[in-house]
Amino acid sequence: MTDPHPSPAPEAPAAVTADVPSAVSGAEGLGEARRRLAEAQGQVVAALVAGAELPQGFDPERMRVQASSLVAKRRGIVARIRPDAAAAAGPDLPAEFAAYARSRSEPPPNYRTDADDFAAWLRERGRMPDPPPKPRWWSRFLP
Amino acid sequence: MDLFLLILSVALAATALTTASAFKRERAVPTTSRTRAMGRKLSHYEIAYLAGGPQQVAGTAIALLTGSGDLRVARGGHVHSVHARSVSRDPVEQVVLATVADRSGLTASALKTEVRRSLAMDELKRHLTDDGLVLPGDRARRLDRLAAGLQVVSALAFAGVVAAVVTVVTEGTKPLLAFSLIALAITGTGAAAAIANRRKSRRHKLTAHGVERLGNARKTHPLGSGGGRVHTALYGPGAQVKADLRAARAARRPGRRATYGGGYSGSSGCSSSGGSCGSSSSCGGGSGCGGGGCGGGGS
Amino acid sequence: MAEPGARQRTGVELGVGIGWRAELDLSIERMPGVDFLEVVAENVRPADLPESLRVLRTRGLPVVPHGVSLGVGGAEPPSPARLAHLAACAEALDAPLVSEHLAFVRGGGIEAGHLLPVPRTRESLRVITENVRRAQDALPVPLALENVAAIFGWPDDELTEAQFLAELVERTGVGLLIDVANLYTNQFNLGLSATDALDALPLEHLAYVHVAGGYEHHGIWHDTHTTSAPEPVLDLLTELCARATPPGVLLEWDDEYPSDAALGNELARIRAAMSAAGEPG
Repeated sequence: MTDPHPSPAPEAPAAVTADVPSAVSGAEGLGEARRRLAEAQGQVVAALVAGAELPQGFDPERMRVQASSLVAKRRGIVARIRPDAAAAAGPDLPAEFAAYARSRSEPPPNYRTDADDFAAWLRERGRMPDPPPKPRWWSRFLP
Repeated sequence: MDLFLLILSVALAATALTTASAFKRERAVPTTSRTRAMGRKLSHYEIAYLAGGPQQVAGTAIALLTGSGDLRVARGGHVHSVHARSVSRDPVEQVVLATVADRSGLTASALKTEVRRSLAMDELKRHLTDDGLVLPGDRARRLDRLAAGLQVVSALAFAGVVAAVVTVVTEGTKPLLAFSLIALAITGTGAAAAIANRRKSRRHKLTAHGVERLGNARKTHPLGSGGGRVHTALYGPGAQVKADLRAARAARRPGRRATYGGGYSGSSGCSSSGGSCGSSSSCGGGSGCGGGGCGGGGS
Repeated sequence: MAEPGARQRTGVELGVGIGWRAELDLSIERMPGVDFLEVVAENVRPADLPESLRVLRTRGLPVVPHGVSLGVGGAEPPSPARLAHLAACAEALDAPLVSEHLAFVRGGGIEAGHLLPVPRTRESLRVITENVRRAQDALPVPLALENVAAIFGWPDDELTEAQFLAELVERTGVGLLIDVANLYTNQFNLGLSATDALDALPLEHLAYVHVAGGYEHHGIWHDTHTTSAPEPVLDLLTELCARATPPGVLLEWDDEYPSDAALGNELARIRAAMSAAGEPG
């Protein structure tokens, strides 16, 4: 955990200067740094969004809260895109959406798909009525 | 031709007379509870119903709720909830607020459609019907059919007049022809007069008593008399502002004094309500990309 | 009020402003006391600006495009397409600057859908410095980076967020968008002192400030931007103003919008907190 009382800047260890790096090792070093950062961040995102195992050293409770905060944010956006699904779930929306999110094998590619998948998930469970048949243009002439 | 026009004029006159008398009989049917209704004060939403039906009630509710800060209207006529406002006790307003809460961002016209179809609107109409102010559906329909009949008679009579005039021009005047022409003209104008201004005076929806109550309301709250709830119900949102602007223009014209009595009194403040939001451009944002983006999702 | 020495400024005094949202367009146009706006860049099509923004621009209001998906804190260099979009927004709005976040938003090919805190190590600093430089090269106006609200920290964090940002500023000259609500969140959730952060941050590079509300739940502060800013956050704004004069302070509100009067009141509270910095005692 980070020291809440850091030493003031002048006493900090000498900053890594990227001003005049040696041409090859600097670039290689940077590339290597990018790879390590990519791996670390990839693991964190996977743990938060895709249910993967939490990497070492992270506070499980905090990560759980972050993960559910992400789900809550998705839920809010989905409710805006598909208000019919949100209305169908009613007061159970948080629980239903969380259950749906857990059931996903893959993270959704975008919010629209997420919303439609949630609506389909509700419909599968009988929580959502089928959409009313669209009125045909000629139906107004029927008695 | 002359014989045809004579027969036509007699037939149309007879039809017009029978239809008109049926019409008058239907209109004159006494409605119930007149004495009860006489004393009852009408709510501004009931007055809105008398003035313009369900559409006017819906528009009034949206305008008043927007004016009080319980609803927010954005460009394009999109209506949004305002968070943490007090709940309304009026059933029509409850429908408006609930619909917007469910479908925040819907257009004012979609909202009005929902409100028009609501149970609260049915109840409001039922109360006014029971009190003898609004014509019950079946009677209104009968009157509409009779009025349509008179319209047809009138149109045919005027067509007959034209035919008679043409005949006079081509073949010269004859007594029977003149009689037909006059009869047709009288029938045509008479039938037209019987149904004139039905819509404008709201006689196609209201009983005579309802028309009377509406007239009283308009006398008590004339156009431009201040943007209160009843004024909005009668003349729509923005009517007061328009009246103020007219008065201001009149006051500025040299050599003329405004009889309005004081010039420009300032905007009533609720000018950008659902009905008058003119912009038709679609608003950016909100569709798909989830709004602000920076905030956390909470739990 | 302490007036710092030479400051790298965007050259534009912004004043007190509010985040533009489509739902609030007419409310903002009617609202007194709005000096500038910020708009989420991802919600704007530069070739087809919303009418409301065009109206507000003709009144001379500065509008700052604010990106939420660039991810300069990520391992990959920032996407040229996203940078081009930010640049196009800046040009379409004639913006004095653009802002983004010190955060990553994707990893391992998966979008997180949220601004996540970066590991604050010297190694990640090298990567992020390079990312910021590339972003600055691609943008026609100065860039400012915002500190984010964190619920978790990384196990091998070496620097505080303020130290990290200070190093970044020193290497790249990037501007700062200091979100005092996020400072408060990190103090609450990670024990990172907000006033220490204000001391460590190079305030002469301050472009503008964010203020927002949130709520506490089970001992964790959630920065939701859906409620009134609490007193401690406004106190932090006062603390900041005691150290430097911000060119701009912006109210962020993303959902559950209150009445126009309530929003106006928030702007008044912000102005009051800013003035409080000048008072003795």
